[in-house]
Amino acid sequence: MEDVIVKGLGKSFDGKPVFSGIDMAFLNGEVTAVLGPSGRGKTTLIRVLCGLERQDEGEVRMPKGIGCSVVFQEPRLLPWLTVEGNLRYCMDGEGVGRALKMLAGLGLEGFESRYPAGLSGGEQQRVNLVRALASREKVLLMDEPFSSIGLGMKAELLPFLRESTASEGKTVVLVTHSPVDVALMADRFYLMSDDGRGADGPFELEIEKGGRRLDDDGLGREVHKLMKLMASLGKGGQGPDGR
Amino acid sequence: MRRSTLTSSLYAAIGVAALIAVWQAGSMLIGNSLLLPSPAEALRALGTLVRSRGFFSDLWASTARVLKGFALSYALGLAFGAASGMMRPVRYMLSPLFAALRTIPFISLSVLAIIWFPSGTVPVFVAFLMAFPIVASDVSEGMVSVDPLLIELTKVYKVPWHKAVTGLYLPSLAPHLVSAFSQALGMSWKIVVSAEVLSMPSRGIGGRMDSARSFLETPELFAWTLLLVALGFAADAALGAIRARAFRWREGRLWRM
Repeated sequence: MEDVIVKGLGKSFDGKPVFSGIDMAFLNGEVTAVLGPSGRGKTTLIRVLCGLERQDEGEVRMPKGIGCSVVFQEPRLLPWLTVEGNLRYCMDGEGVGRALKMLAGLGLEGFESRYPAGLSGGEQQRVNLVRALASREKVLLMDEPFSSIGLGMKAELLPFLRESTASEGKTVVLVTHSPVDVALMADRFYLMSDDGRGADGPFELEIEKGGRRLDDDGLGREVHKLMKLMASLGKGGQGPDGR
Repeated sequence: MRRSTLTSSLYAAIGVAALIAVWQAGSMLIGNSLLLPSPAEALRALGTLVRSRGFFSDLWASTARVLKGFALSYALGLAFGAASGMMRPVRYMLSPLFAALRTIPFISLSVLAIIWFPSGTVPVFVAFLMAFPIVASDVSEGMVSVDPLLIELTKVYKVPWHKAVTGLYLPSLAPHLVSAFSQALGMSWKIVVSAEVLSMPSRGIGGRMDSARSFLETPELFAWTLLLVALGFAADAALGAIRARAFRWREGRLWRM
């Protein structure tokens, strides 16, 4: 089994449960989204999956010898290193070579020797993305990675990410509050439940595999459905791209 | 950037000119160079001093003591500061010692050191004890202030420790290392010269100042003081140049905001 399985996972801080009884399966080579409004422990789930936080109950079954790379919610760039220096900090020479090639594809051509302070928020976030994508680790965890990226950029970037991670056989976990992100990139998704007890899903997306374009009617219908689903959670009154 | 350095050095020059003017006015008012020599007299005395016999060996003797005391305090301060920054129990154990060293007058340490050590070693020992807590607490503060988000990044990407030291910890500590450097060096100079006045080693600035005092050579006393001030300025300027180079990455902020 190459899949990452989560069983009965629970985590609380100072006796206050963030979530409990979470069962999820992140299938090998697929993009699985975890959708839910803010404050439902989505970030905590990512932190438990990558080992920064230890769960209080349940287990995470990670295939042997498999590691994670993470796209953090914030760019987390070392301010005194250039873009290239930041990539070098996190990977070996071979990985840096791959990462430098990716920069151009993400609209960051010629940014190698610039310092983070000279980049916009969206540009910093794309460096964060490249850093995780170029890593050789099999599992890619993404924590609200696109909140500082505009809709136009998303429409190009997310289908591209979907294809490139699929071709490398990466197992992707995408945590987000944005139905657009899910519709543009995910194969399946879970919905964090309202009370933090368990999660619903997995749900399959009803879009044909190729049709991940913003002007596609299927995508529009899917976004609409996801928004209604989130609205039904009570507090989920945020727009498709609300933040 | 350039403009602001230019204006800041202009204001510094005005400040120096004002100080000299006050000094000049004071010396004219008092009219007795034994009490307060004029700036010109002090400069002339400095000229004579530099040409006097044994000037360079006295200057070097004190400099060598400063360097020894400073190097010792910086090296040990770095080690203890890093340890106390990383381990809470070490921090709690060291804090009473540092608090004590901060309040103990250096005179009482010097008097004890005169009993324990040869006269040439006394200034080194006292300078070390006074500068060590400055370095250690600065480094310890720096360790605590390393961005926890970047420490997590380092963990997640399994960055090897030597890369983490050079890529994350040293650059995070750099501002603290620089400020500890200039403070400890300045402190070492003050303490070494003062302790030399007490312990009377055969060579050193302190001894020369003490004999100038006993012969009422007030201009020479001023000349030595001017020399020490000039040395301090030179060290600060050198450090400023290093700082500007080391923190170039910050300039990016200027054209983002």
